Amino acid sequence: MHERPRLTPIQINRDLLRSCLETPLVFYVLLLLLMGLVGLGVVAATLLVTYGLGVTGLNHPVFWGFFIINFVFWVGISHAGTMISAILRLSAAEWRRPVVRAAEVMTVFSLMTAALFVVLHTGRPWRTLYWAFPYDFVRGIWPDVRSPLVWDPSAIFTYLTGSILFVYAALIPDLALARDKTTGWRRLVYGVLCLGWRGNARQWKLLNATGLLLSALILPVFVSVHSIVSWDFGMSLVPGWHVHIFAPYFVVGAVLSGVAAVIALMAVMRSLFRLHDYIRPEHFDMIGRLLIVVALAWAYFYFIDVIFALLSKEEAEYEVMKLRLSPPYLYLFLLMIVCNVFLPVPIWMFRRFRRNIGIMVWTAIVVNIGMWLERFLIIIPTLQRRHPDAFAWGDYSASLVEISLVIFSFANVGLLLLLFSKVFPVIPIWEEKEGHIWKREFRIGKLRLPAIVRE
Amino acid sequence: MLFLGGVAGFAIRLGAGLEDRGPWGYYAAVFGFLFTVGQAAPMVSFVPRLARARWHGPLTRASQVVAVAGLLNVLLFIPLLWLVPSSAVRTTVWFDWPWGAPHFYDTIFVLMLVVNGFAFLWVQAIPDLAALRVQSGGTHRLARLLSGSFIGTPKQWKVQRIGLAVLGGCYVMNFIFVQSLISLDYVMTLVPGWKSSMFPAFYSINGLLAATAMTIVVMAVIRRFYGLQRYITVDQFWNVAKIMLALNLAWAYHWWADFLTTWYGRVPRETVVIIGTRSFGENVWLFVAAFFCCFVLPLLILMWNPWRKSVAGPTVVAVLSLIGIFIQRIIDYVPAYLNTQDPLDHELHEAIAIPWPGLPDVLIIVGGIAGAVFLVTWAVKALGPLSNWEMQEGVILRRNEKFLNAEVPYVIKPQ
Repeated sequence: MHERPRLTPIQINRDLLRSCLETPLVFYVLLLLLMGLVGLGVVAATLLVTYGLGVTGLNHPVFWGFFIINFVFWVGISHAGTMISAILRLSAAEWRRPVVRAAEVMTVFSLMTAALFVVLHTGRPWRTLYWAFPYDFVRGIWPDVRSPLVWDPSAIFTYLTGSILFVYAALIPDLALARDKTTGWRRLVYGVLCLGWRGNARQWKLLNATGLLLSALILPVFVSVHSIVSWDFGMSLVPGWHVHIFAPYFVVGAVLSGVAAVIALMAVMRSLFRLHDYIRPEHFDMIGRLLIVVALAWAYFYFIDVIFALLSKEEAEYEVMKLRLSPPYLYLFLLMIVCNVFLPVPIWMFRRFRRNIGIMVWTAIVVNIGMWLERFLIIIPTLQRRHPDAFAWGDYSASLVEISLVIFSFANVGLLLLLFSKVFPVIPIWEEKEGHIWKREFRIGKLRLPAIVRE
Repeated sequence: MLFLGGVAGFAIRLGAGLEDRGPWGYYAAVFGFLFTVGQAAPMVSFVPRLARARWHGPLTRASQVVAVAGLLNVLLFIPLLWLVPSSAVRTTVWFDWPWGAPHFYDTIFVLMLVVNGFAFLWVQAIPDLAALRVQSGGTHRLARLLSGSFIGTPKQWKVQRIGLAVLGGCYVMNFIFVQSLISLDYVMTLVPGWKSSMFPAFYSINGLLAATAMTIVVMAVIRRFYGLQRYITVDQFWNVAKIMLALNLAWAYHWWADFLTTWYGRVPRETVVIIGTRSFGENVWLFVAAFFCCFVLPLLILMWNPWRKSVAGPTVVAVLSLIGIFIQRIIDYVPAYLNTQDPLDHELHEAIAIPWPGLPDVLIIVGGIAGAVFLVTWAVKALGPLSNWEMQEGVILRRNEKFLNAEVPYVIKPQ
């Protein structure tokens, strides 16, 4: 990387362990704020469990609302970790180093939050167990394997397990370092967690092999998770949902929202933990380039979805799309397109803007607003369409409980990330040091140019 | 000779007229295959350049030179436009745009893509043509004509690099646009077999897979016949093979998503097309062949590092993938052309079996492929099998450096 400053291993240790060993005032302020919002969500969830789904805005025929939108949204965000870590690790992209851990951890916490919303959506969370797991061996009652209630937990828990392993394996050398730099109970905890890491040649070899193996194995899981979420919709015969292209389209959308969220997270980390030497404008530049491709791919799939519904002479499909493209949904549709493509992509085209962290954060937030709206537009207008064989027509407006739980979801992920940063280094220290060791500069003519050891 | 045989086959088909779409299925499949392969390959040289990967130097010419097959594609494309069902009673992607939609505009866009491919190849080859001009003492007419006044000043290099970036970027966007446009034109004919929202995306994935496969095949051929083993190394095969494997998996994923949505949906009009005609049922063996060639065998071969990191492994997989894509094109086009029902009926009541090709079809298939091979061979002869200036740049930007007890290669990355 071109702008990497010369740092000694001691400096790297001190800078990257700072978040674990020092606690600034702003940490407590953020902690209190996020805990307050999470508390609000707990109250809302308690109301939901006590009084049932009546406290939500769900009504016939709109039986999926904010909870499912949020579920899809957070599963989407969770795709950042694998996208950034596994793919960039396999392709040996040098700029991945400071980004990977934050992205991987965000995957874990986003998935946990997403799973929570499926459970909340049932209204009676304890019953989820009956629908999702084979519990009643005696009477031979089994969950229906053709049901998304079985697919989703299978996909999410496989991805969650893989992601936790992914985070943990890459954490081991840093945990050993933390063990060596701390005393008392912290030393004990880090000592247990680092599994006796000494950093000998065999251990490094095993760690590298594990990293590569997990990267390769988690990629199919990463693709399958959002495909399965898309099939929750696609396998139904509901016009507007029974769309063949949904699986790749959902995966691309997930990557767009996830990678955009990583930008916001990187900026927060950089500012909160003073990581300016590690998370540099060139990293935002590289992610910006990646996002141009992903945003255009998303636009391509969305265009096909819209054009197919409008022109394929399927009356029901046409009606749903017409509803999405008519007021009041038209305004949301236009806002979504502007947020996801027309505003950010032209901005990302310019290197000057890609290197401006403030602009990158704002565009990342805008993209995520757009992606949330996209899920809203897939779910709500489709269900609201008047079916000829349904007898009750209801509109959907989210209740205060649902809105509180949406706010809770953001606060929950933020809180978990904040707590993680207090206990574990947010940038992989060993990867950063490895980058420094491999770094070389060569003179060509009058220029000194950076070089990397392999491609 | 083979190409002339293809022309004869085309003449026989044309003699029967353009009113009946049925017999033109194999012709359309040949166009689909050549269009996919020929127009996609130049992208393989651009994408690694965009990612600033330095291993692409030796494969640049091999991938870009395939663009010359585009000439044939334009010629093959024109008769097909008159075989598209009338748009009188349906909506098209052109929204009843006047002045010859889709015939005129589709031709223009295909032509634009071909010209873009030629321009990309030309701009990339200018420094080599200039070197040829100088080496030949100005007697090489083609080099003199195409290299202009290029003498390698910093300004000329800068303009050439900007030209490559702009033309390459335009080419990628143009390719996706034209592939999608043509497939959407097919989708909007409402003919069962094409009418699926997955069709444009699957078409493009086939294109990208064909691009990597064709590049590997051309690399392997010129490496063997020009004795370029020292220049085109395992590195190039290995790196392109990784991308090809990803695309083989993407191919299977897109097919699976389409198939599973249909299988679960159990909508009869979808089932009879996607399962009965395109996957299993009547044409199961063709599908199995495509599936094995594009997914199963590539996965089984390329998942092993020693095979992936070789010349033979990726080449075998590339040939298999091209065969698979050709079979896929037959599945895409032949049954849809044989279906002569009213497109507005939306429905295929019975799966359509793909017949064996007749003599004119065989002549067209062999002649079409031979024509494309002829054009590519001629272009390799005219422009040279390697991009010399990129090879030299690669030498400048690669250094071996001692690291502990080993000597490791470093790749310099200018900003």
